[in-house]
Amino acid sequence: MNFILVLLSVFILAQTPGAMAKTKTHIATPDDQECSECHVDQASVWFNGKHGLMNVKCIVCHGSTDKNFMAKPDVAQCIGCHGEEVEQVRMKTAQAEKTCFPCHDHHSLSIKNPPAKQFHVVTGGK
Amino acid sequence: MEITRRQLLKYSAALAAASAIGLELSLPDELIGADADVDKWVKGVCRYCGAGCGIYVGVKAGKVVAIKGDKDNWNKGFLCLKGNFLPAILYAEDRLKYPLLKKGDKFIRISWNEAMDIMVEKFHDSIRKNGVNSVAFYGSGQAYTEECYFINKVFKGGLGTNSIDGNPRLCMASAAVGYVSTFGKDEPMGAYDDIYHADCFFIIGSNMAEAHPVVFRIVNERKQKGKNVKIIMADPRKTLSARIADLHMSFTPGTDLAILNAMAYVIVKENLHSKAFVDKHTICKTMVDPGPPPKIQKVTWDDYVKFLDDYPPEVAEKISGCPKEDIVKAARWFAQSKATMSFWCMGLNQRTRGVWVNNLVHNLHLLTGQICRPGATSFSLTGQPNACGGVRDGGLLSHLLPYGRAIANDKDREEMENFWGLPAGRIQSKPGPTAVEMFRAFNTGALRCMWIACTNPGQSLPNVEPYRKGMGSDDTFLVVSEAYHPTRTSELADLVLPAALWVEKDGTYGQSERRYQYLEKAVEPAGEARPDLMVMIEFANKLFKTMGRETEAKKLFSAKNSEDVWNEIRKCSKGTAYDFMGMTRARMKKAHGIQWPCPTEDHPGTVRRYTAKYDTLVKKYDATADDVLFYSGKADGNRVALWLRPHKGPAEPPDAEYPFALTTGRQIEHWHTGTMTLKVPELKRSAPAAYVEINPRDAAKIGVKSKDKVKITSRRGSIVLEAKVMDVPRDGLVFVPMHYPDKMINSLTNDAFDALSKQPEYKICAVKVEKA
Repeated sequence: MNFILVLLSVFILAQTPGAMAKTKTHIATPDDQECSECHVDQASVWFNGKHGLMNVKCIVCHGSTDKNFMAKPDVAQCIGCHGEEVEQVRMKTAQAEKTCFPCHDHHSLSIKNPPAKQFHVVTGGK
Repeated sequence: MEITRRQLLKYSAALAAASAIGLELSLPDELIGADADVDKWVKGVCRYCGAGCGIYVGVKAGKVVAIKGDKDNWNKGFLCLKGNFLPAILYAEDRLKYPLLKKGDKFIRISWNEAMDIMVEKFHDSIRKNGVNSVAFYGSGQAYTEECYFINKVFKGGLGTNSIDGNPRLCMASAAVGYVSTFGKDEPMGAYDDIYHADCFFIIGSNMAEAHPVVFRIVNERKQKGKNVKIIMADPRKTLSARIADLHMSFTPGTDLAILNAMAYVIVKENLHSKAFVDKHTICKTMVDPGPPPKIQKVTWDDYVKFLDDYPPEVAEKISGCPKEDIVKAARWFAQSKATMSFWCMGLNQRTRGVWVNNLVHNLHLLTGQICRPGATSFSLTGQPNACGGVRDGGLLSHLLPYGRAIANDKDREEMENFWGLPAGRIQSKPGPTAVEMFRAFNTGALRCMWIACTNPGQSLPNVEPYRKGMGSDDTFLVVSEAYHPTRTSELADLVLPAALWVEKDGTYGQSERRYQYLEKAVEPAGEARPDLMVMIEFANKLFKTMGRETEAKKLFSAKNSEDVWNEIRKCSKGTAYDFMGMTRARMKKAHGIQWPCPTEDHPGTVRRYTAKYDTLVKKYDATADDVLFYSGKADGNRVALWLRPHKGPAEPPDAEYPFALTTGRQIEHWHTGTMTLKVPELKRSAPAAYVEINPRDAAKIGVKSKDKVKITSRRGSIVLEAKVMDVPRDGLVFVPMHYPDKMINSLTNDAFDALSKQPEYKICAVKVEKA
């Protein structure tokens, strides 16, 4: 039994963040152009959501608009503040779902699809 | 702590098995994110603000490649926006990797040996020709505690000069003098833990959503989870912090003394004060002559009540523009909540009446007894990661000695002379020049040699341009220890020494809530960079050898590393109100911070001071005490001061010629002079350039819209910036961030300073604003 679990873990861990990242290039923008000037709807949802209230801005998940840009952020982007939750996502979800977004809305971060049972302990505020 | 792949697999298997049967298991903190392709996670503290968030850095192949919050520390694993990108500061292209000497208009690379020889020769020459007070050190609230303590010993004890000050003079001096003048001892009595118990928050002069985001996160959590928690935000700008406020009190910049006195007026007139607390623990005081030294007079409660008669809310409204209804509401919420916690920062400290306005916040807590209980406390937020631990506590200010001792106090000087093994009288009795005074003396030539470490006064001093001339003069010798080059200070230096940065060295940080934390070295320094402490040790020994005092140097400066210095610090603090004796290096390595006083190795640290339930020092001063005891107010029978501090406005209010008030401050993306955060591509993209924030009504008056160029002019200089038209500042106020080296707003700010704390008034000066 232990051997099977170890093998399973090796398989899960072999899927590196890079392999899951869905990157694409951002169009060139003037330095003083803010994300909200084009991404109006997303910015509005973000501003009124948890990350908006706490000023966790676009760059934390999406990087810069240069080579660091990530259109669909990998779960690794969340480690800074949500290390434990990220670990649980990595350990407990199917390969195709290894992100926060099957359950959480992309920009408000509110729970859109509650899991059948509590997935991870909520450590943050309401 | 190194985590092997095998350990990780074992934990992974256990977690998967537990999940399969419906159990929730947590990974040990050091394993969280352990598959993020790192060799090890090393415990430390964030490099930026004084909140002092616990972190782990992920190291791979000798390089810091990842960061995560420490969930066992006060910040519960959370980081702010810029904390998430910290590793990048170590690998910026402009990291300085070897010593540089200025030759003509150019800097040339030299060896460390050459650099130290030149520095020692210049300092020795100046001391020989002009005396010890001709050399100076200007330090930082970002240096480690061990560095601050050691260099303070070199200058005040070894050389016998008090020409040593630090940049907390520019940010925390008014808070420090505010605590000392009210309570007798510096530093807050409370802790972040109080946030979880408070039912009312009074936040004044602080944009904590951007300047202290993780503290703001906890305040918001309390607001969301608590019942009927009230948040009062007093600020001339309606900042992002005001998003969670129940009451935003807007007022004309510099008129908050009138508002705070009016709140006290309401509290007393409506009988909302705690007579029992006031009678038992306070004594009313007024300043009859500012001195120096200031002449203080004790007065009666009736005198205080009569003084408040000058500040009914309607009068305060006329002075401040803050509606009287808001003042009354704020006073009632403050007094009537189960527990009220105040927060403030530079909006109060960076003022010519900074100490007074600090005293007036403390007054509200003392009047109402909203102090020394869980949730009830008067809490000053700190701007730099070690302003408290290194500079305020360690005494790296020109009027202080370590751990609560003062230069002007004969007994304190004698105590330190004995502790350091110095001849009697070695420590000068006259305080040295404070930050602005020091750079004025560098301009006039009264100071000939200066060593600046870990700070950037060529950008951060108020009214900076005249001081830049002194720093860049050929008649003086300026040494700058920096991790980056060029900065707006290092470009003016004669000698630039490459400094190890953050987790490239080990040491101790002490943050806002008296929590001291050890930072382990995680990686080797860039190039030939060295920890400042090692440079200080070498400099001290070489200088004293050159001066023919080698034997004395061997005794005074025998420390070999930061642990040696830390152990000396522990002994130096023993028996004081600080007392770190229980904070051994071995214990600090394991702990997620320890709050002083912590007198013994089995002591858990002190969450709240001055109350018997939480502070074991109380019984030391009075074995019978079972509640609040301000042992810090020993001189007045353990009573602390209720101050009569009249309203007085800023040094330079707006007038017909300069009709706007200019205030400066932070954006969440950047920190201080941007030497670190502006090198992080993501942060630079998010906040790329300086701007002026102006409200739509004022913008319409001068005919500008967002992205138009605007010229701002003060009596000291002018600057052209892009406008951001937003309804944040009140009418007649504009805001400019302080971070940008190419647009230094400090060319315009005022260097007038508080007579008591000597902290300059960055927050208010008069300007005219025109379409460029």
